[in-house]
Parts: sequence; structure tokens; C-alpha cells
Amino acid sequence: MPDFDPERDILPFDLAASRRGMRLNRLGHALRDPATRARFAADPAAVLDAAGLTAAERTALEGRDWRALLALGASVYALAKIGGAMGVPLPQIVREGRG
Amino acid sequence: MARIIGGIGITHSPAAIFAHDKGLGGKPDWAPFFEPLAQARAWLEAARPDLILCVYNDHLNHFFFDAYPSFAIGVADEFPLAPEAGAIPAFPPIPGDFALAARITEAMVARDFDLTVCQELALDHGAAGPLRMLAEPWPAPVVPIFVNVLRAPVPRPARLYALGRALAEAVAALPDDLRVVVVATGGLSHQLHGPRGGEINEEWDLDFLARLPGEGEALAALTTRDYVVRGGAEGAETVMWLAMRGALPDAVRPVVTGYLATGSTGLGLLVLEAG
Repeated sequence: MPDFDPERDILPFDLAASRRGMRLNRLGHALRDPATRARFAADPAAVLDAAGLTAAERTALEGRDWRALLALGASVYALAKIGGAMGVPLPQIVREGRG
Repeated sequence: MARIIGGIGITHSPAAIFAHDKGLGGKPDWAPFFEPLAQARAWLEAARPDLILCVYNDHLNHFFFDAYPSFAIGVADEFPLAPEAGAIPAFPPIPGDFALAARITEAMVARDFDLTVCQELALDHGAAGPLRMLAEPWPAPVVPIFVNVLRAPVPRPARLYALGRALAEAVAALPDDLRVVVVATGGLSHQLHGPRGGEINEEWDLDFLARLPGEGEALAALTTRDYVVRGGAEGAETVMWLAMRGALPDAVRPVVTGYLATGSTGLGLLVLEAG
């Protein structure tokens, strides 16, 4: 049975990650909404500015560094929405996130 | 007396929902999932349910981590579809039943399941996708029951099974003579991040589908970690199916089983008939 190793293969999304990733996850949550998504399409920088991201978060996001974003506390479901707004579908995020 | 006549476990994979919505289910590649799905639809139509309980999880489309329930119940006459992926899905709202949901809430709280009560609740693909794959227009009002499977700590598998047991008691306590079906969504195996992102554990998925009818308690005795190890971090949402099994009597008959490992998810389908 191809078992996953929780220590090696899994990045736990727990309360600490959720606190760390609050800004990124709030951005992802907002990007589910058509109005925010339209604003992002028109002017991504303005939406990112308003999200109050740290420099590390902004760099990882603009670099499409999914692994870094996960390490910064992004939920994979927030990443799906952020990626979607950037034109990157979830299967590609999963592939590129393998590192 | 109201009674639970059957249960359905079904994936809420966006790929499967998309294929359904676009009418692609007839393609040969999709047959191992969509042929059993057609049987499940026929079963549900013949079952003539008066009420559907739908155990599901949201994907940051309604709830956010600022205030994230472990368990929640929708108590309303109607549930709109949640915006997701930058659009509001073009499907009608899902009908609810305020009075029945309120009674179930009271019965659950009396059994120490103190569910967060949502009098406004938008449903994302976690609930709305499987519901329209199974029937459209929807044949009965729905009581949605949300479970946190996103952020640890999540409810233990045994707690999901107990939730199902309590739902069965709550349904039995309804004064009306209603036919109730329990739908649980999610799974089966998928791992969406990390070095093994995209892997599926087909062997475990098929084992779970085979064992759930007769060995629900044994599957509920596993730990959350067991589910993560076998089905992946995101695939651990499969524990929601334990609520469906727990809601049914000991004696059940599997009437439909379907499975297709495709993309990054093991797509599972199981229909259990009570008695």
C-alpha cells in the first residue's frame, strides 16, 4: 500500500499554519468572489497591495512558488483560488508543488 | 415515524462535477464512474425521499478561518450556491426546510451534538456538486451538515460515526412519517500538496468501499492519521462517509458501487439501502 508519510509528505494545515497564513488565505477567500476576481484581472497589484502581504508572501506569490506559499501557511484551497485568478489551474499547482 | 431509508457516499471532485455539468459522462473514460452514477440516480428517484441530509465540507467558499465551525447545520428554507473560482455557479438554490432542520438541530443538541447553527448558508461544490450529480431538479429539501476537514484539529473518525448515529436518532424523533436519505460527500484518496502531490491510493479506496457496508465501526476506529497515511491529507475528508454509515442501521445492502481513479482523485460512489 503506497502509504503517505505524515512527517515527510504532508504539510499539516493546523492552527499555527492557519495563523501564519491568515493574509494569504484571506486573499484566496476573497478571490472566490466575482467582484474581487474582476478587480484582480484588471489590476492585480492593487488587490495584492490591499491584502497587506509581507514581502516574503508577495515574493512567493509573484514568483508562483507554491511550495513556499504552503510553507507560509497558505491552505491548498486558498492557493487554488489564488492560482485560478493568476490563470494557473489546481492540477498544475499540484504538479509544480512537488518540487 | 421518519426513517432513514438509505445512504449515498459520493465524491465532490470538481473534475467529476465539471464532466457532469458539461455532459461528458457518456465518454468511455468516465464510464466506471458515470455508469454507476446513473444507477444511483435511478435508485434515488425510486426511493422518493422526503428529506435529504447532506454531510459535506466547504472549501473556503462560505466559511473562513476567522470563525470556523467543527460541525455546523444549515437551518433555512433555501441555500444559495456559494461563489467560487470567481463566479456564482448558474444553478438554482438548493431547497431547505426550516422547520425540519430546526427540529433536527434540537434533537442533536439534546444528544450533545452542539452544532453551529447557520440560518444563512451558501453551499459550494462540496455539497451542491454531488447533489446535482445525483438529481436535478432536487427531489426533496436538504439539510446540510458541514464538517471541518480542512484545519487540524479535525473531528475524529469515531466522532463522525457518532454524528451519524445521532442523526439517525434525531430523524427517528421527527413526528412526521418521512423517508430520509443521507448523502456524504468527499474523497476518496487525494493528496494535493508536497512531493507526492497527485498520488492516488486505489488499493485503499477499493478496500474502504468494500468494507464500509459491513465494517463501519472498524473503519470508524481508525485514527485521522490512519486516513491521512492511506488516502492523503486532503483525502482524509473521506471520514465524512462514516457519518452516512453511522446513520444507517447495522443491516445494509450495497446497491451501487462505483470507482474511478482519474486525475488526482479516486472518485468513489456507494449507495447503501437500509435493511
